[in-house]
Amino acid sequence: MENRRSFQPSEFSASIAAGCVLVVLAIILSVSLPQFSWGHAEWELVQSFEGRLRLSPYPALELARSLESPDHSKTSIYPLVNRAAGGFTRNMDSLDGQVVTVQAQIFGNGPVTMLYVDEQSIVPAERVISFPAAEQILDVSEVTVRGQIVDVASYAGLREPAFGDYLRSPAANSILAGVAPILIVRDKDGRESALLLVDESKNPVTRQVVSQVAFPLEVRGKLAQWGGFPVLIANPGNYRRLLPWE
Amino acid sequence: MSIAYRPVMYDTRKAFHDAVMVGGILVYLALFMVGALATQRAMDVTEAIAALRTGLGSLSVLMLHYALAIGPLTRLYPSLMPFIRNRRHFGVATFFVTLAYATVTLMMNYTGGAMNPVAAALLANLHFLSIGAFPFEIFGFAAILILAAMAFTSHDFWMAYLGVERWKRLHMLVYAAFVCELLYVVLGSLQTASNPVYPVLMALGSCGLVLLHWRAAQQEHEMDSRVPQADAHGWLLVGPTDSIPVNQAVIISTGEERVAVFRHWQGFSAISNVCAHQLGPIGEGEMSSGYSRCPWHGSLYNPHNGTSPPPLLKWVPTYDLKLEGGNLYLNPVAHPPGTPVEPIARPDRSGGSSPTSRRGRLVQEFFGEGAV
Repeated sequence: MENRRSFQPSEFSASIAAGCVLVVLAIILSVSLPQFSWGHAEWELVQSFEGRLRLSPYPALELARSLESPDHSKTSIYPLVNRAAGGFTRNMDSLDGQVVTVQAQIFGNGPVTMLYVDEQSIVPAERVISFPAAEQILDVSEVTVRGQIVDVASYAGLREPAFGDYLRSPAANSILAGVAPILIVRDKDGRESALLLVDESKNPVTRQVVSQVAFPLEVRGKLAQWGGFPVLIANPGNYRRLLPWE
Repeated sequence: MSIAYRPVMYDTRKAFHDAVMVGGILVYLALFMVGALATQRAMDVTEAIAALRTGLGSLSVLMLHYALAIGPLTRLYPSLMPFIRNRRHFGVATFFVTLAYATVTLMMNYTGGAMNPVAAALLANLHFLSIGAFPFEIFGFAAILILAAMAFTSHDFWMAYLGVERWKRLHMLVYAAFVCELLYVVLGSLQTASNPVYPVLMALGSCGLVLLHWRAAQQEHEMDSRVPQADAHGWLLVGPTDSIPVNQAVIISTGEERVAVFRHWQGFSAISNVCAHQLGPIGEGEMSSGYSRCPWHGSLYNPHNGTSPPPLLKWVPTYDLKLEGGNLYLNPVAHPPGTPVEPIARPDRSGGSSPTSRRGRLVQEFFGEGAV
């Protein structure tokens, strides 16, 4: 005959116990969420910007600076990310190097600020009085750095977490669409820097780096500046994947 | 259950369980968002969506744990049987919570790229040979496909169309869905988790489920292997007639099948313990209006012939009983489903003194045999 246990919780007491477990787990799991990055996304605020459109190596808006920066550049580079598809889907060649106005939201995380733009809003500026000369990528020094690749949109605040294994597929998808890849490096104090990646000819790297996204890497190359934005010039074939114990 | 295949046939109890379930889901998500808002340094829209996504994901995993735990829990603690009645509703709710998580994740992480979100989730990362970088999203898709198949077939129409055995096998895929969710979480979210709480809770939950199933299986195995002694003709000893509670059953293992031996107002009858609806344990329910009621979903069976009342078309095998020296014996050879078998009259009622009036039967049902 069937053996029934002596302790039999009632339906009511079991419901109360299950409810308590649910409440406790909700609290534990929510307070245990990793701290979100300090990024800031101005989803609610679409602003108008006027600057020079740069399509190479990656889509960016070059804005004039009111004060000269410590690196002596007269303009600042802000990567552009198209709202619908990451990269631009319409041909912008005729506007390359031209002063344009764009409607965009600002996304920022630490050293990176990007403009989240509707590509249809990019039109030539109606009147341009004066604008500083276009910044070129200027070599500074040879470096060897360690970090992880992510797309600039994810890191700037479009996604959480800003980078890491969880974002391997989304970041690869973005980079394939033409969003700029950046290498996130940390100094010994934990401060993060973002280096825009280009090849030795200062051309964009997209397909070459997709397989390396979110892996710990060591990259040897030349550190450069592009309108105040740090750039790492290196051959993607020489990126070295770090082993777990390195 | 529904003879006309209505989408959901509610009774008060089912509606109450569903209301508690939906309330629980909303309370969990609200608490999760409040907890996240209270402990994060600052939150913008992206981060609020990320918190909601984690809330939905963790809720999906918790609900799957519950759906898998309630079966073995009711084997170990039969008083929890009422919870199993809403297990199908709970499973469908689990699917919708998981679908909400998947939708938020696809919209947040996989849009704005070279491929459409679904293709990006499945094809943007091709490191199939690496454990650390394995495209964990595949496991998430597999889990949601399984849960979708289960949710869409969670209805008596599909059970009748597929047959109970096939339907049951399909729904056993919930274990595969759980393994897929486990791999999704372990290979995905946990890789970037800096806090040990999530991996520790996931490990505890999985171990708890394994332990619960192992303990329930052990108990079931013990029950199956406890075949009572047989007399010279091969009939199995059920026990003294008084050992069976009024309007209840004892369950006897024949070594191949379990049989429910009921004590009711007409005497004693034996039918298969396996419900034809969803293979629930008929004998663990109680008698109601002259019928035995399966505790899982309330299927009724006449203990005389193992048949559901009209218009339902369900039958279970019946068995012969005999009374010798105050002890009941069971013939382990089953009759075909629905075969009528005359009940064995109780020794003190052998003159056919069972109440014949409806009132008398009802009084006996509610107040026990001494009342009439």
